[in-house]
Amino acid sequence: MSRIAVLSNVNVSPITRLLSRDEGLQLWEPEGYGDIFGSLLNPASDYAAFGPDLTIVLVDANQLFAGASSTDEALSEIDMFFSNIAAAPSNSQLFISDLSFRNSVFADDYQTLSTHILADRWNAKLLELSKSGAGVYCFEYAELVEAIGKDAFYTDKMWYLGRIPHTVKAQQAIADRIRRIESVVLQPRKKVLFVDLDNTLWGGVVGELGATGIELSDEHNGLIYKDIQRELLRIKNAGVVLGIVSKNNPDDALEAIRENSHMVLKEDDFSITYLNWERKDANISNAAEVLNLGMDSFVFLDDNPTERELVSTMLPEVTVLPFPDEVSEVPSMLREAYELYFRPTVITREAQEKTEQYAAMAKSAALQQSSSSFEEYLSALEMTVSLVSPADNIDRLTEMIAKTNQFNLTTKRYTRSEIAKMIESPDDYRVYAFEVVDRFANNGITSLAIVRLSPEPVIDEFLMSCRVMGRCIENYIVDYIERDMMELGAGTLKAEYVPTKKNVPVQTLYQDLGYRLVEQNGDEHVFEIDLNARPERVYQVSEG
Amino acid sequence: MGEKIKQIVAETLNTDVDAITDDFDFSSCEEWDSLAQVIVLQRLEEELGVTVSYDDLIGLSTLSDLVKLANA
Repeated sequence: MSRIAVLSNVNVSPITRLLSRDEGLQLWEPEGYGDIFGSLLNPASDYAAFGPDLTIVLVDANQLFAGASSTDEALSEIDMFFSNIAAAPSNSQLFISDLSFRNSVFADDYQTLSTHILADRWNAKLLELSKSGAGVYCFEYAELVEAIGKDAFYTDKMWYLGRIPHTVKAQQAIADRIRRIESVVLQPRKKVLFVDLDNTLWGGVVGELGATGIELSDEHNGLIYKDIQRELLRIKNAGVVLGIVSKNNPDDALEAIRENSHMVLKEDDFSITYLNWERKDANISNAAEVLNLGMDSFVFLDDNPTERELVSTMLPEVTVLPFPDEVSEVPSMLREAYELYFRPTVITREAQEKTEQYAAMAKSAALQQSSSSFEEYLSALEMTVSLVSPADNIDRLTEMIAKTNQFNLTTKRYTRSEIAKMIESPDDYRVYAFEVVDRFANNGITSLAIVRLSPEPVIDEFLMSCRVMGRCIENYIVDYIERDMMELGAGTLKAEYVPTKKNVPVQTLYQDLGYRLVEQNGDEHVFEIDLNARPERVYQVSEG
Repeated sequence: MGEKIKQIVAETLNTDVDAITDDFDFSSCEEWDSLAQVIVLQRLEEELGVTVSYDDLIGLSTLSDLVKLANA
């Protein structure tokens, strides 16, 4: 159940009522409208008590500047608005609308110019706050007005009747945008995008036309393919791994990628490359194994309907993108796909570096094959595991809790505010976050454990990114937690496990670590260990 | 027209369309608040091109009165 608060300086109740009919959404708005900061700034407000995961702030520009009589006065309204936003003690993610004007604002001679200046200041302030990492984002409102057209978006009649500025059509568009934000912020993101080459990244078949004969340029169809590559680069830059799966002679394909000066995507942008004549579903399955990811992490782009059909039949959990017959529609299809599947909730440092980490993982997988024994492999990795401050990395912890499926013992999808609360309550919870560095890469914060302390210590959640799975790090981490609990005076430690479709890799984890099952209610398993009789566990980790 | 109106009323009151019979009584329905009235008024106007006055709308007793009002 996602909790969404909607705040506005005009009446947007028809929109919240529309959304409250959706299953899985719980909506809240203040009594009466117009009250944005009464909710945001007051820690004892009903808003704070509701504790939303997501707060949508819809600002009507004309209402905002209703009391201002000059551009300068309006500019100070904007500054005040954002200093209030910056002061709000919110654990919720805030999506604030950009500005759109229903009518001109002042009766001066510079009407249009004034509104541009105000919108510029607003956007600059919003951008500044977004960049500061305060959990503030843009709700792209002006874009909706543009798509629908001002006349069909706003209604004078309803404005005068009930301070409702939006037509039914506008209400539906805003509600849809809120649903999309909810799915982006609170649903797991896709991790890998596999693309075909011929007639997908460029026009024509490289094996026939050669590296410079393919359609890729700044004109006509060539520009369409260049724009497709630009959209793919944007997806890659959001922390998604790009891969090639193409039936091609590797020399032909690589020559085009390296030599054609119109290529936006470079060889390094692709972390995994399958240039062969194997079935594409087999190649993707192989990648899932190498990267240790579930099939539902993968997305597939191919112009050939037979290949799309094959992949969606053989690997139903893979998302197969539609490929419009009209190739000029592909870039906008990719923009839509970016929003639906890839756009990160919070672009963290870890997400940006992920591509490099997967590349490093592919290399260490090669190393694993050449190591004569598993232990040699682990010791050759030269791993260091360090405890880091959870409070300083709450965005990353939120991301891990939302995304991790395989090595996840209870799959409790805690929200950012719930995690914040646990971190702030050291008498009730211990939150452990670990960073893993090896000789190939800094893997970033890749493991998280939460211990509930009262009435007795229980490992409430334990998860690890698949980037570092299979390296016995869990042995080290559980040892670490147990030692910490012994220092707190505990004699036993319990641990919860809830099986899901995805977390098969950890189904015997606690047994393997020497815990025994003491309780089972339906899917919920509780294990226990006597802290004074802990087994010796093997790991090759230096403490950071 | 009658069916479309029933559908709008049902969606606004978040209830099944079968529950909105011709003798459905607005005055005994708790969800028929001022916001619901405004939403119905707006949807009649924007989706069906039917203009009703707010005063007439709040004075309604049954659904068939609303259909009559919309057809007037």
